[in-house]
Amino acid sequence: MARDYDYLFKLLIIGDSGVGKSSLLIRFSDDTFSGSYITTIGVDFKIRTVIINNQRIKLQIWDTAGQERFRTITSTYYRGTHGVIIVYDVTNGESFANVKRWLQEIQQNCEVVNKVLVGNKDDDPSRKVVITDDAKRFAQQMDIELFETSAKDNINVEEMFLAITKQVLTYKLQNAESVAQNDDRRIKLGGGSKNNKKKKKCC
Amino acid sequence: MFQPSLRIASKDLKCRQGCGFYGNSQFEGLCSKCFLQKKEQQRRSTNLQLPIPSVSHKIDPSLPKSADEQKPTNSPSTSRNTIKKEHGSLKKNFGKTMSTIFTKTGHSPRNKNVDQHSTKSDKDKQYEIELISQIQHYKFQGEGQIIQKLLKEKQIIDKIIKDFMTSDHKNIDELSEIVQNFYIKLKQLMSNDQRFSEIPDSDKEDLMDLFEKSVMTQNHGILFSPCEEDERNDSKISSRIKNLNWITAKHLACGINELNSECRDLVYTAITDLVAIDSYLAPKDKLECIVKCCRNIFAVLKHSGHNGPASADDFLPALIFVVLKANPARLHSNMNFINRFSNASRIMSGEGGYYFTNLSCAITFIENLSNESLSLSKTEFDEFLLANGSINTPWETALMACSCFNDFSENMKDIEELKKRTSTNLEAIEKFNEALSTFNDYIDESINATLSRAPLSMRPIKTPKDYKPGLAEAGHYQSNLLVSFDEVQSKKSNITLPLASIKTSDGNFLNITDNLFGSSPVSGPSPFDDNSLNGLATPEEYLLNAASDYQSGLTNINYDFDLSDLSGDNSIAENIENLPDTNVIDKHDPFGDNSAQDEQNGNASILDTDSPNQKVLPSPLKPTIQEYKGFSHFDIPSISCNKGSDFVNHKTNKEERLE
Repeated sequence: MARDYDYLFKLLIIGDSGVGKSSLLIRFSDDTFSGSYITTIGVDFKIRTVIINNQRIKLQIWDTAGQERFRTITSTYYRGTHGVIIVYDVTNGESFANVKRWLQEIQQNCEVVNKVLVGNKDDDPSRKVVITDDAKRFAQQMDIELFETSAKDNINVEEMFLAITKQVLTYKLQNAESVAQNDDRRIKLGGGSKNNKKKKKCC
Repeated sequence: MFQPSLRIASKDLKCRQGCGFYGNSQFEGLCSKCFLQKKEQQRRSTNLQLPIPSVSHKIDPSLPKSADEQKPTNSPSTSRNTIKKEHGSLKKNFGKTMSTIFTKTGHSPRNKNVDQHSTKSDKDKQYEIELISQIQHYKFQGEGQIIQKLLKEKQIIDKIIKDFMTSDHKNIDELSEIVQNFYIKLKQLMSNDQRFSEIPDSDKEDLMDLFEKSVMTQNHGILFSPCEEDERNDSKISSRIKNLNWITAKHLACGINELNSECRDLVYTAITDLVAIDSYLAPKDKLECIVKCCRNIFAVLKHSGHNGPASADDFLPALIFVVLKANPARLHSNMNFINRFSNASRIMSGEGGYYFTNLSCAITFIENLSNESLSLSKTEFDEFLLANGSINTPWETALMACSCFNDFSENMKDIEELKKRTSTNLEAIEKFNEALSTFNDYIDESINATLSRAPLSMRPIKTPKDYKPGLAEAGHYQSNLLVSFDEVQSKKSNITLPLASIKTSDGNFLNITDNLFGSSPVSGPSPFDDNSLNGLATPEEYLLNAASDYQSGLTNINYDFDLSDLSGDNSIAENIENLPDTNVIDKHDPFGDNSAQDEQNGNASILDTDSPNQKVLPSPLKPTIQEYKGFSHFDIPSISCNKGSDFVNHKTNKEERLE
């Protein structure tokens, strides 16, 4: 089938309110910092195609609300998500402390294991409160890749997104066979249990 | 319709068909059931007269087949079976005219069901025709085959849906699964089947959408809100939102600028978009409403003057706010309908998917809303809830607020317009002022230029003499003159005159001007000419008093006017000839003399005040004075002389001519 991409991945950006999730997203998709969300939203809705290992991968990144009050209701976002980007603010210790809770939430809502930890706003050393070593130690402990980025100065943003995409792609290729089997079964049976469907959509 | 009678018998009120129910004049005297049936019959008979589209013939063979295949379900209900039988036979007899069937039908509930089924199959046809025309729009190669294939698929899924919904163990989620799988199957079929090989991918997706839309619109009635639970949830969320209508943008901490009229309009548009969700039948169209609504919300956030990009941190609260204010009808049913029967890929990804997910989150938030989620204390929250119950219904308040807001914004618009107008007016006034001042300057300049070109020269003034201020104080008859004289004097001092340059003693100066004025040849007799007043005195007296005090002369005036004196035939004329020449008169000018004498006497005015008639004097005499003045000096003799000479001359001329 002639398509303009080989894979379509859905990524989720989570993290406390005001850590710069949208800025990261806009930096990656528009390569601007203060651009307005609305300008591109009508056209392709924050979709960017990257090429990894000669595979065209269309990335679709969903921004989420990070406020405490919405914590319990965001589970719907996780449906069909391939990878999660957890963002904290290096100038805000609390946002880093909350990362643990976000990780718990991912576990509750989705079986996705593809995730990266991102310390954003890493552009002013004088204001930095979350020390890189601490973050690294925590990331190792949780078995997550860590990136310190700056959407403002365009540091590490591209690398971070490519890393999570690679992770998802590798995971996808590993599980390709089982997924294909799943698909076949579903078509033959014309039905199947709900769990099957959810699993397929999730990962 | 009814026979006019004084009393209406109960049978007159009954249905004309005689079914036993009461009729209604609005229904042509029929009961509602009979009326509807009649209408339907009429519609059917007109429809049958129209040529049936060729397409329907193509698919016709499949219809009885599907009906035959239809095995009686394991349902124990006999009534359902009979309905199905009826349904099948109806399809078999499709070629027959419907009217024959209807003539047989009576008033049993069974037949009513049959009626419904038959209309459905009619509608099915309409949907099929619609779908065909939509597909034909694309002008694919071999579109006949494609249409046939799609219609076949459509009939299969229709049958599956109908069978499922009529079966007893209906679980809507199971059906959703089946439909979703069917979509996937159809998609694969499209990508593999050679009949579809010519069609580009984007068009394939469009075909899928059309197919989905057609199927879902057709089965909307049975698939939308199919279980009680959905309805219960609908009313639950609706009343929940009603109870929460006191929530403002501030409570949710969303950056909607309610004071900005543009923002408010966009919020209204978003609300309208969201409310429209219930008016569309196909899931795709419903989803489109959500997308439109959310785009407007992003526009609102943009207008609200946010720093940086609008993110989900701002978007979700705004969406919740809009949902709370919109309170869309049958929200849960609509969401479930989209969730169950829309192509899964659409709600899992893309813009529509993102917004749909956000809307689901917003609804969950509203359902689970507590005092903590609004950062209010428990008591505050309860108070709000209670207070809300006691005031008017939310709808009323919303209406009231709406109209108030409308008035408010309209007034604001008016004020803005007035402001504009005022500013333009002010500008215009300023411009006008500028123009006025430039014009003034221009006038001044041109006046100055003209003045410098032609300096003002003193023209002879009719009022000839100067007076002592003492005269005016004394209330002399010449006080009138004094006023004008003073003016002249002041003007004289203002305007640089050659006269003013003559610097002599005060008295001399006065005399000079006096002489100038007096001797001016232009100066004619004026109403206030002193000479004429003097002339009132009889010539003898005048001569006598010529050198004496002017005032005393005045008191001796003979008020007994003898106008015959003016005739010129009197001896006065001769006497006048004896008068001294003009030079002498000037010397004896009573005015000039008077002023001199006044200076000398100083108290001459006291005498004057004693005269009772002094104030009456000037005005009544005016005309006579003028005439007389001329007389007294030199006119009379000259006239008489001239006349005489003229006459003589005339005579002599005549005589000369005669000669």
